[in-house]
Amino acid sequence: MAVSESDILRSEVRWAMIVGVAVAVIFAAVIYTGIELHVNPPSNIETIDPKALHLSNEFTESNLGTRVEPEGRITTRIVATQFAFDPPCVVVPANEPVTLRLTTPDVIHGILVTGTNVNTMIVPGYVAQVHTVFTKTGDLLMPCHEYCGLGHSQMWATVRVVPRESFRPDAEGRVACD
Amino acid sequence: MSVESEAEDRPWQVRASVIVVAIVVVAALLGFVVLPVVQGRSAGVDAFSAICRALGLQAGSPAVRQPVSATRAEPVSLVAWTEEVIARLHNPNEENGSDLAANICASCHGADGVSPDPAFPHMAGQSAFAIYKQLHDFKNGARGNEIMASVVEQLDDEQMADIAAHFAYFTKGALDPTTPVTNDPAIVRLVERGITARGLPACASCHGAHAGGPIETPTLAGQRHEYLAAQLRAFAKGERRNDIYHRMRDIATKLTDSEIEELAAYYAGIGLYQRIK
Amino acid sequence: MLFLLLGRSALAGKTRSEDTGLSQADLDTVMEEVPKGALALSASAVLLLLCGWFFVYFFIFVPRGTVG
Repeated sequence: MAVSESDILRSEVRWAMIVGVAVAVIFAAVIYTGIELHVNPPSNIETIDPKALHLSNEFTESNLGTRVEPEGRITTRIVATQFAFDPPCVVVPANEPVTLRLTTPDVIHGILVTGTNVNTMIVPGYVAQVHTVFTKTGDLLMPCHEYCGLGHSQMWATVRVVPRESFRPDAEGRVACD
Repeated sequence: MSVESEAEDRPWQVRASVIVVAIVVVAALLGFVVLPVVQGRSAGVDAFSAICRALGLQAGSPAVRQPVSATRAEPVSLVAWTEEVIARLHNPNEENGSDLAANICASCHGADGVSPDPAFPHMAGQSAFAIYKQLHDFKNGARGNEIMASVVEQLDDEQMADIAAHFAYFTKGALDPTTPVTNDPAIVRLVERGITARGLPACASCHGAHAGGPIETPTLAGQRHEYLAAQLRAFAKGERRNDIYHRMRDIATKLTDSEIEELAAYYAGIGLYQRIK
Repeated sequence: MLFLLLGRSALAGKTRSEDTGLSQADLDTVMEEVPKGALALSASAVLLLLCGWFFVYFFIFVPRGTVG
């Protein structure tokens, strides 16, 4: 036999080292972005009663949409229902940290915002939360991406990313599409 | 495999196991301890909370302070489908329900729930959930109507449940066809398919039998034309606002006047009342 | 695994070598070259995959805005 056992072993060890280095390099890149850019898996374990969602303080109808909170944080709250988002259009400023908080009173929905990394499931009983910074201005499509029933394909909303100077909160800190 | 190669393999098995365990331990330490603590420090989250958040034991991200909401609830309807309400609707006091219905409802909505006057909606064909929700909303002012407000004023929750159960003929949407019985292509499209570009879901996706939407979704088939059109207009103008999370307000705002008329005519014209009787 | 397969095919080739007139020495020379080619192929595949991952991560994922 032309290839000896020790040759095979040596090649396998070398090969394993190459794979180990590749994995280590990817690990390093993930850790670097984790520390420098605060990238995180957007998971959030936070429960809420879906039966009484409309009676809750935070997800009451008048509190939905974008609001600059008293401490300066920009939070956008959206409720996904069969088969629409409330509100159907939200305004957010570009290049500012924004927190999206979403939940649903009925079935599992999901969202992604086109051209961004925002992508989450919305599960009844839980609050989905994504912290992000929108970099491009314009109207971004936010479709429901988790089949939720017969009206699923008509279920979409708009995320309007505006330059910082056009983002004008009212006295309560709220900003809405016209 | 020979005895020799088995003996040769054993140290490798040990080494491989150690390496795999080491990778898991290092990754867990990095992901659940090092990264959250470092991220939390710059965001002002203490180390313990940061680790709990990374593990999913606390709400929020270790890298961002958790937002708070100081808003007080302003619900558009006080009805919540708790177990008690659902149980009452399923096990009503039937005698009480028929007495109340005969005394206070029958003059306008008909003894069998079929209203004699076009101004008043039929009750026949609705589910107990649909009727209970509206009665409760009239009483609490979530839905404004002077006549109904004065009628339901003296009723308590249990009496409203009994009345709702008395008129309940079917479950949600049992009469609403999933496939339109008309040849008007525009109405067929709205009822059956919806219009994606306008964000209009199909009527049948909630009002049809076994469809989506909340349990209180009313049956539309055979309802009074005048009533259906008036409700759609009231939703569009924001005069009626007890549809939780703008479900109908958003849709009605997008409909044109002629679409409202045609949809009301379509649903009113579905001659299912002969079948009920 | 790859090398074991190659070893087997070399054995299979031995019977045919009688017909083609190849000597065992010729075969050994060829077999010395084969692992190098296989190594080059798999190494470039892994490198391409790694480059693809970094391209997507730093030129698509990171510019799209961080999440967390």
